[in-house]
Amino acid sequence: MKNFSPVQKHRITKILICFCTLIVISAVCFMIPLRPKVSDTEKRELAKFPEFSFSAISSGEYFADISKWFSDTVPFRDTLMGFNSKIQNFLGTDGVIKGFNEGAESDDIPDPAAPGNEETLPYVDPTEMQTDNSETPEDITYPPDEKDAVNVEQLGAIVVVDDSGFEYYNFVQSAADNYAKALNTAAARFPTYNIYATIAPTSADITLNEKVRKNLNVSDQKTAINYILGSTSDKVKKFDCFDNIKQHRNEYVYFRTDHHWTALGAYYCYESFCQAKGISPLPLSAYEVRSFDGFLGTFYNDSGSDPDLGATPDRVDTYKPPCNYSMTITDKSGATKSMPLLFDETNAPASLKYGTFICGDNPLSTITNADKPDGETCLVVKESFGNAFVPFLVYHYKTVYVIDYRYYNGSLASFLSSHQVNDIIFCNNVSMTRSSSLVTQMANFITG
Amino acid sequence: MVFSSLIFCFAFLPINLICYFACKDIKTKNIVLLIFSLVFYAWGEPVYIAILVLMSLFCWLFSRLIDTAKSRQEQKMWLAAAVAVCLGSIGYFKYIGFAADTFNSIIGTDLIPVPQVTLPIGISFYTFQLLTYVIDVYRKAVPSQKSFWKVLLYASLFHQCIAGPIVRYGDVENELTMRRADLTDISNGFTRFACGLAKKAVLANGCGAVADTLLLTDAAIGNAAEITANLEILSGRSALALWVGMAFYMLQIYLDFSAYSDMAIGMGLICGFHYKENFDYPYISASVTEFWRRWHMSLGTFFRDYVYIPLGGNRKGKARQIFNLFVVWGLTGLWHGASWNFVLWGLYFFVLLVIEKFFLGNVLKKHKLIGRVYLLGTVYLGWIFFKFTDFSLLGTVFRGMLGLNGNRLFTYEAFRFSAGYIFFFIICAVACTPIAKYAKKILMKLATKNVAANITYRVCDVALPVILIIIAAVTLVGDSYNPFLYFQF
Repeated sequence: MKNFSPVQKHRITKILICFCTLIVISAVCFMIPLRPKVSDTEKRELAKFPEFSFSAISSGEYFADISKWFSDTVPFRDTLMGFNSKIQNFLGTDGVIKGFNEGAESDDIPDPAAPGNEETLPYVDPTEMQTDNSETPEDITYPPDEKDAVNVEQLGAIVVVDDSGFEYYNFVQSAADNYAKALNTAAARFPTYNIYATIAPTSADITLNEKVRKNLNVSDQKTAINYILGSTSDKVKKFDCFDNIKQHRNEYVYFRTDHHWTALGAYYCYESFCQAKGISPLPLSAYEVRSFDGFLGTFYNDSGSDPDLGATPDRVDTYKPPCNYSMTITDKSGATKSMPLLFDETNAPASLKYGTFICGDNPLSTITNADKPDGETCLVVKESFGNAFVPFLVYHYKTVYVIDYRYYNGSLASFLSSHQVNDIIFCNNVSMTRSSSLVTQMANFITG
Repeated sequence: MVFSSLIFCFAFLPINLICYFACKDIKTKNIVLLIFSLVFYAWGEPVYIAILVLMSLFCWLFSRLIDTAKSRQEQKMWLAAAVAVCLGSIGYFKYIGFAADTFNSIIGTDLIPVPQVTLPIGISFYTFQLLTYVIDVYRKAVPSQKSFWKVLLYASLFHQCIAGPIVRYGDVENELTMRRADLTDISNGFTRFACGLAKKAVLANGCGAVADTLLLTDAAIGNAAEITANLEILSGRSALALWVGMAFYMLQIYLDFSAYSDMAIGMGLICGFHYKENFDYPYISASVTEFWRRWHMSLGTFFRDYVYIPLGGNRKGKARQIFNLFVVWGLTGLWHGASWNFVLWGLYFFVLLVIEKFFLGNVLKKHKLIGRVYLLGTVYLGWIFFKFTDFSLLGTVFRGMLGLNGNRLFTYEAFRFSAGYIFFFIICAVACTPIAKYAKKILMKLATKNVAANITYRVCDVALPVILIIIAAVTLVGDSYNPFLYFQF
């Protein structure tokens, strides 16, 4: 480089460095054996090198798939993807945005005792309508937020606030009315049974930071639950667990990466149930606790594996009842087998650990408590929120039947004709009461 | 293949450069470029590459016939044949379905079956390039090219074949036969390419992700089967979400398109081709007239030189001039896609340009600030026509922006979402202005006087392209979000 001027020397250096940058990155790309086959962070199999065929070539798919393979399986891809998020965060963008949700249309929630409702709600004598709402919202104060929400992210179906996901709830009056109607039908058709009903709130109205919550386009769950339960006849013994759970909102009552309540949340619902039934609940200390770490539930999956959620998996705590019990389930294929009440999820996939409670959603589960041979019998009609609730009932009954009406083929009437039952407990979450298809399934189970 | 992909940047391009610089003479260099160009095109269009080759062959043949023709009459005939081939193929591949559809909807029946023709990628770009070649030969502005391979190289050169700029044959005629990339060119070429790549991979894709999330992806808009679901999504959006989404779309389309031109110009420089600039910071214009002198300049000058002026331009009276402008802008719109919304978009600018020509122009010249605000507003509005190829979606967006869908004007969600992107928005907006260019100029000036500035300049000059290439490479890993906007063109 002797004959070059300093400017020329600078340019040659620059060209060589630029060129080497291209070559070095290319060389890394071409280290074929270093190319990963699966992504640990995304938990998926990566694109494969396409198989050769003339039709794939002429359609252009073959080359497109090679391009896809080349960029998807870059050596050290997960590390590089990590750098990418850092770059994107620095620039204030997300690269891949998992969605945007401004919330669905909500119906206004009417007053449960409003005149005219009786027309839409058969089986209720207007004189029987519950008119006194003894608890007005103003009477209750809840514990304040323990910490501030820093990072609020909009995702497809859910909102992520720091390390926690929350589901949108929007009140749908027709479905809510049908839900109340279904409960009234059950009370009218089966007057000799004690019918209990609760509606579990979801985390958005319990654990979500109040400042964030008040801005979201969601319906007030307490008002909605009051409306639905308040629209049922006096024959339905309602137990509203909302306030009791919310009093404990700073405890671990809801999962952060999943839409369910924790067993602790369900325990506070159980306390409300005991109050309604007039029995005293077992203290938490009476249970043997077992925990399963590494739970990444529905919010994690619905958010497209949001890294903030993924960084802090949930812990699933189970409370083993202090009695001598056994459980048999009838699974979706109709097979009957003996299963543990609280399944060991230590080695289960991260997304399935809520399945520990009564071994997940099965059409029918029967839990027998050998310590109460002369005790009462109950039937829990539920979706998956009921699963965490059921184990607390086991101690108090001789037999707990659990029916998941989404999978159970028979009807309530036929079940009751062949089983001796004292209490029927409806335990669903508030999100279920806006889904007309789920409400219809439950109504069909009751009226069939 | 698209430029902003790992396989292009870190397989195709380096191999291409190694082969290219390994060749000593221009002939083998051209062979290398041609082979790589054909592979590049065939990678995306393994079948339709035949059209590119055939059209080049016809245009080359007709240009030779024009050259050897004995009378002007005969030359005219060959020119007409070449134009017929070019417009015929673009007409068939790009507009036949659209024409049949329009005809059917006018007479209100399904009389003509709508043919499903896939659009060969880049056809609008290379057809126009070939047209400039044949027409310029006819006009004796350039001599006809004896070698078919050079015409094919000109039309298929991967630098500009699929997303522009529309390079005139006259601009590269000499460089096809004889070109020298000096150190300055190669050095500037690398910087230009790296800037374009990062602009596309980081800024344009980032804006696109926001716009697509708040509005709809182009794929969703084009999917007639999903129209009900899409209408529902859009009509439920708050006005704020729609306004912000369109703002990011406005940034995306400039950053994306100009990034392709940057990369093309950069790669051209490395090989010794000097393509003309295609974008000159259009969003800082103070009038629509100025905007179109700065936006996609190679297309604007094409329509000026090959449509507007031949039609008589402004030499045949005001009425004729307005008619000529109408034709040019209708065609400009139609060039961007076979759909009425693009025609509407073109004619929208026709109306604005006529207004500026006869009334508003002088006012805007005097009040630059008003002009800039007016320009950003009108162009912003124009992009709404451009984005939504379906009129029911277009109407829904317009109503939604004014809160007339029964939608909310403002939601907490839209606010939080948008607020999260403020910093990114500012970066992108700055990238649309010549601020970086001026900063470089100032630094260069200082570098001649001051040692520290000199060292800073040299370090930046080397580090900038390297850092940008690395950042772009990291961004492209996984190929998570990387739209190619020009399938319509």
